[in-house]
Amino acid sequence: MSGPEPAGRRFRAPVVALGLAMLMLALAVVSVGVGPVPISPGKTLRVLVHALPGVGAAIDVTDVPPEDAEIILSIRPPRVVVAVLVGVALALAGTIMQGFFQNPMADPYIIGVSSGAGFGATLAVALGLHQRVLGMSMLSAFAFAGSVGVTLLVYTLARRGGRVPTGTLLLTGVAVGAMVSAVTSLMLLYRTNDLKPLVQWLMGSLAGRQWSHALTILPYVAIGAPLALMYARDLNAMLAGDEPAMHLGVDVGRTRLALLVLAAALASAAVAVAGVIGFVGLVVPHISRLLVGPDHRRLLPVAALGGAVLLLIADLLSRTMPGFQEVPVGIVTSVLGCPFFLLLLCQSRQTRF
Amino acid sequence: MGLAVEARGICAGYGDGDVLRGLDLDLRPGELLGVLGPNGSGKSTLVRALTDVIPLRQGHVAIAGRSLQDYSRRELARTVAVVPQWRDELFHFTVFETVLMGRTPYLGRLQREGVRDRAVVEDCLRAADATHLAGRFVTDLSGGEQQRVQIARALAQDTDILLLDEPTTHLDINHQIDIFELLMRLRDQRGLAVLCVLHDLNLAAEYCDRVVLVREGRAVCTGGPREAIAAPVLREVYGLDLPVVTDEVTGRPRVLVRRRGAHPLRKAVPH
Repeated sequence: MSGPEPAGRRFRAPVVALGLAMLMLALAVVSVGVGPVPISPGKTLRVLVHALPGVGAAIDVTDVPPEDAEIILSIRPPRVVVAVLVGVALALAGTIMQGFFQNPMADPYIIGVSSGAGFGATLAVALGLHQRVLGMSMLSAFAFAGSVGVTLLVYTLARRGGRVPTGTLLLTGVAVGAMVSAVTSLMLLYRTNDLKPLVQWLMGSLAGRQWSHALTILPYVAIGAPLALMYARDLNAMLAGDEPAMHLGVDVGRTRLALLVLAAALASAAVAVAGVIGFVGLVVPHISRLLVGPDHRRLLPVAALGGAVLLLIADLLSRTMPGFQEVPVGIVTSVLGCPFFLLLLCQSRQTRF
Repeated sequence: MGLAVEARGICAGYGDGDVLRGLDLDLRPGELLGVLGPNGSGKSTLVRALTDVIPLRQGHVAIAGRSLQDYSRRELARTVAVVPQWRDELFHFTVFETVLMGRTPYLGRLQREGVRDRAVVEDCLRAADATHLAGRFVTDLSGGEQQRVQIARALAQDTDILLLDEPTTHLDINHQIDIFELLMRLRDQRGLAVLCVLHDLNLAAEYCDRVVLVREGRAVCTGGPREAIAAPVLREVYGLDLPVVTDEVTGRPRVLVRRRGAHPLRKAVPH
């Protein structure tokens, strides 16, 4: 939309999006260089550009040892791509959920995505399923099934004669989530060996992610992102409430179902490949809204890029933090996200967004 | 020209109970119709039923001569616009953006608003005396300003019928009068059929062409202000004996609020 821009309190969305896209690319290049064998960003960039068809021939990479080129081109990129895709998926799901609930405090995990995924993953470990199916581990597959299953259960339980009241959905999500988490804890109690991979996953981790993980989540992002944009105007109308949206001609019932499925699929795909990574879906839409305003046509693209940037930063930190092992990225996003979020809340004395 | 809205014996409600219990109502083109009644009598439910937000359980509604069931939601949004009950604005949209959302029923999913949409918005802002607010955030406006923005947004839907649910309830007397002067102008200049739910009997008596008094989901009395805002009707609807006098200037009724057991003031006795 446009019209007179309010002075000084918003940034132009294309500028913000361009800045975030450039930041994302820069972080991706740095990320590829960071690891047990450190490679400078300049060298990384040259090798990456060299690999591009057409322009690549103009770049001289004769000084780069072949092992380094191998690392740059095939060993480290999958993890970086997974980080970008997971960040985009979580941020989009969060933005959709906040619009859906007309509440800037909602996040994709509120409807049972994380508790369901945790349940599925724990069940896979408890049953001793370790084999891979179609390049995806059973843990991921069970996590995805669990999160979609619990989301559908929450939605079904919250239905009241063809309508899904927001408050009921929220409370049902909390109640079912608590119950499912209790069952998960019970399973953990009886199955105490073999928990390392599960705990890693429950904390959210990008360690050792392969192209297969990227390919698992790619379709969801590739289809989900344009779909979300198609619903941007409906989301705008629904921010004022369901009834006003109906009065503007929005088929609220159908739109709500579509948005819920979309957000659940995006968040579930992210959780399936990277575990439970908190705060991205809550913080990123929030900050994006402060930057470019609440219009979803600007907000969704900016939040998507912001999610990718945040996750790349978190992943970089998780890999470079001193310690005997890599810190799970989910811990980094929470440690990074919570104080920042609280700071924002304290600074703006107003309750509006 | 036929009726803008024709409701016959409509029943609707929530859960097991009906809130509307066989309500009849006509809204004529170019008239300002007031809907009054006690809390819980079904006024807001009436607005929801007329706009297909809740389904009709019985009865029939025709909008501009066509059955309500035959409208798609988008078509309905191009025929009837609603100014909802006031609620706190939570999101930082500008006034211009908010009014532009009124164009939603005319735009495809990925279609951007065009020059014409912008022109309509500017025209509606002008009509609602809100042009000067265009660049402000709706969250920063006063109640009266927010209400004018909501009306501008409804106008941007470019409909012949406008329904308002208690547009003045939370406003001071200045803004109440502003809103009704605005509604009169819209009726006269744009020929809108305006249905307005409100609580204030005197505002209704002064501004409305006709008034419907609703009690327990039925229309008890429909007519001009002098006919409908009369002591016997008010007794039936509100269960109160409210004195009604006539304004000497406009000839319209005025309802007096008098405390229970009040008796005429005795003249001071000289001593």
